[in-house]
Amino acid sequence: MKNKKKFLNNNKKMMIVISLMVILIGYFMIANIISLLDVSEKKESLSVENKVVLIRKDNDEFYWDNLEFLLKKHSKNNNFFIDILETDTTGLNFQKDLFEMATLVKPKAIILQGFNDSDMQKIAQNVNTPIIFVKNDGDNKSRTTYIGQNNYSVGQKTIDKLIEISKDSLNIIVLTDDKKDAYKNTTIEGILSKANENKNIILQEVKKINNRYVLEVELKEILKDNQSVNTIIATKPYYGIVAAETITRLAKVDEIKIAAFDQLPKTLDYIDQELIDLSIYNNQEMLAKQIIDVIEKINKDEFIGDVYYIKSDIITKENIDKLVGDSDEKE
Amino acid sequence: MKKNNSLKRTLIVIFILIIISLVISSTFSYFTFQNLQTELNNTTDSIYAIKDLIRLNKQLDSSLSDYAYTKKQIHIQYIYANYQKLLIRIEEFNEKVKNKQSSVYLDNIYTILNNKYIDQLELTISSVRGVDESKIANNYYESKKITKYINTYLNMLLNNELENSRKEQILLKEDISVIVQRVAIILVLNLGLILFIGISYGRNLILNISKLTNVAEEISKGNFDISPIELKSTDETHILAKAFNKLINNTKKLINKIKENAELEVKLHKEELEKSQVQNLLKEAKLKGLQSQINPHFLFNTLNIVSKLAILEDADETSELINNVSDMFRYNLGKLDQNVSVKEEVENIENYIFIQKKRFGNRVKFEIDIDKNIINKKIPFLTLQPIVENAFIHGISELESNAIIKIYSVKKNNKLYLVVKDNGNGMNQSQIDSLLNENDNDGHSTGIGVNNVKQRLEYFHNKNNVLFIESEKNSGTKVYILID
Repeated sequence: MKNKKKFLNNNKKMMIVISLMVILIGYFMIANIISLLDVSEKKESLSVENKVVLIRKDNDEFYWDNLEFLLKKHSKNNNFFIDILETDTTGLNFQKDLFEMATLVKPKAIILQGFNDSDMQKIAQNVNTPIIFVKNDGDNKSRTTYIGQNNYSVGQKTIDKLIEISKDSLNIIVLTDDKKDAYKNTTIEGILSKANENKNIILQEVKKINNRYVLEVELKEILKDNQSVNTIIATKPYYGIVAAETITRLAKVDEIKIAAFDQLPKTLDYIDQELIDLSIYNNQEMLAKQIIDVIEKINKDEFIGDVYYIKSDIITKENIDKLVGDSDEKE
Repeated sequence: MKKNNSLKRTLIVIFILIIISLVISSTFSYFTFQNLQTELNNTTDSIYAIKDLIRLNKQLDSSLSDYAYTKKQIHIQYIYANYQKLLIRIEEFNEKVKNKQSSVYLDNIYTILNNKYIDQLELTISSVRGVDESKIANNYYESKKITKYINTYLNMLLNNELENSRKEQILLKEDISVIVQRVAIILVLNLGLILFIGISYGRNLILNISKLTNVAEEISKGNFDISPIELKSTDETHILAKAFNKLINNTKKLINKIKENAELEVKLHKEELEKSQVQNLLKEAKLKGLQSQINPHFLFNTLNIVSKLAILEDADETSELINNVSDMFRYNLGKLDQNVSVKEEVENIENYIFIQKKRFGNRVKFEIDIDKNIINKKIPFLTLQPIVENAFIHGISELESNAIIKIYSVKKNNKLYLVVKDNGNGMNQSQIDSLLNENDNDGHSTGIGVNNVKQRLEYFHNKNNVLFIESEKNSGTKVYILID
């Protein structure tokens, strides 16, 4: 016993060093085991009971990217899985196909821009899946509910704002890509309603242009034919930017006012540069929260309304910092 | 029996520890890399599994197409076989899937197959059986469309898995990098640990052995004045050190003992020498005796006849003198190597004095005053007679009258002495020294001088200062003889 004690005392330093090294080895071994377990067990919860399909439209990536991100962010708390369908990833060229494919997988809800397409209407009528329109209120028989801005009101507010900032009468052309019936577009309806009641507003043309890459050429033609046009209302994303660039090239920045309908960074930049006079501010954070709230109600079989309007504002040079720079406070 | 930490045991323990350590780290490294390899394989396995699903979906579509065109019953079996196989494979694959998006795609495919597709398949098969070409075309087209959707989901699943696989591989590469680093650290630490144990233990062992070697060298040189070896170990070196220390101690003790014995031997030798000297003195005394004894029986007979003649001639005094001389001679010859009592010595002295009285007449007076208690004490033979004779020779011989020789006992400094005192000329110190240290026996009837008496007394008492002389010039002499 005495010998043992002596031995331990004599070899105290050696024992401490050995113990430290053994602890270090053990630490690294355990760390590796944990890492390996992490690698092996990086398995998410795979429950797919609350599946929701979001069908993106490929003409406004910024809008849909943002909405997708916000929906995924807010759906985490509600255990919804947002399954995205878009032409780019599916290889399907038509919204109808995407929509039909979405209906086949029996999701809790399908979220999409909105449509007036008769084929899609037919598909929508044959399924029990709740359908949520988020951008255009569209055909109210095809959808379960609409969540988004009041497009009619936005159209009216745009005219009001243009009148407010313009000293002359408004000679307007409206740019849209609506291939079906442009005049059934509720935003344009709102614009028209204001134009009809104010004799200082002349709506020269509602121009349907299928894509923004030919817009510049066509716009130049229109402006050449209609020298009196002093206002362009671009109801589609990117159209405002193209219009601003076109009138800059035509050196008509001071002559023509532009109203855009998107929140693309370039649009905001052009507002700041006073190339674009105004654009519609659509609070997507609130939109996403409202969508998730509605889906939650659908999941619980609770009553849901036909329309949920999300407040919109008009962005101008004066309020751009307040609206865009501090959107959370706005909510 | 108390167990020490033997070298053998310690080395075995260290060896086993090293083996265990190496086995653990090697096994750990092996399983780590095997696991990583499995993970890497898993990422590619899923791609092949999806490819297989796409192939099966195509086969299902082909078999339906074959049936729609040929209307042969055999194709129905293929259709259902492919359909079942596709479902089973999807279920199997779903077990392995780790990603939620992939799981959703699989669920979508499974839902379509299990609902819309199977319904549409039944419709298509029954329309083919019904031979209504327009219905066949519509239903087949619908089935084909659903197959296309399934294929779309399968492709999305494939893309997703490819993307995940890419991400997983990137993560895995990062993990592998960290894990490999850790494995390397473990191996390095392990190696360090082994080296540390080896060096620490080896260093102690070498230090201990070095200490032992140094001590052994010192011992081999005959140097035993070294401090004891102190080792911190508890192994055999400790036992060796203890043995060395014991050996050194024992050797030191042995050397001391040998030294003591040698000293004792020298002393004994000296004593022997002294004894031999005494023996020589005795022999010398004896020889002197023999010289004066030339045929003692003849001398004694002659002296006896002379004594008888003296009586016949009425010379009684002469007869008495001759008798005394005869007694004295007899005494002198008989007991030379023996110790005698004070009484015997005194009797011999009385004979001697009687003779000397005849010689000196009234010129000298003799007094003897000895305590009765000491008359039986032993002293060497012929101790008193040479001293008394010396008093005659050097003390009173020149005195014309009133010479006194007194023999008495005295106690001085708790020691008992016989004192021979004369009132003769006395001696100075050089004469005393000469008398005590030189072998001067001139004029002594026995041939034995004071020096001889002194040496024999020293031998008898086994110490010095057994005979000393107090004397002053013209004041007489006292010779002290130690009795007890």
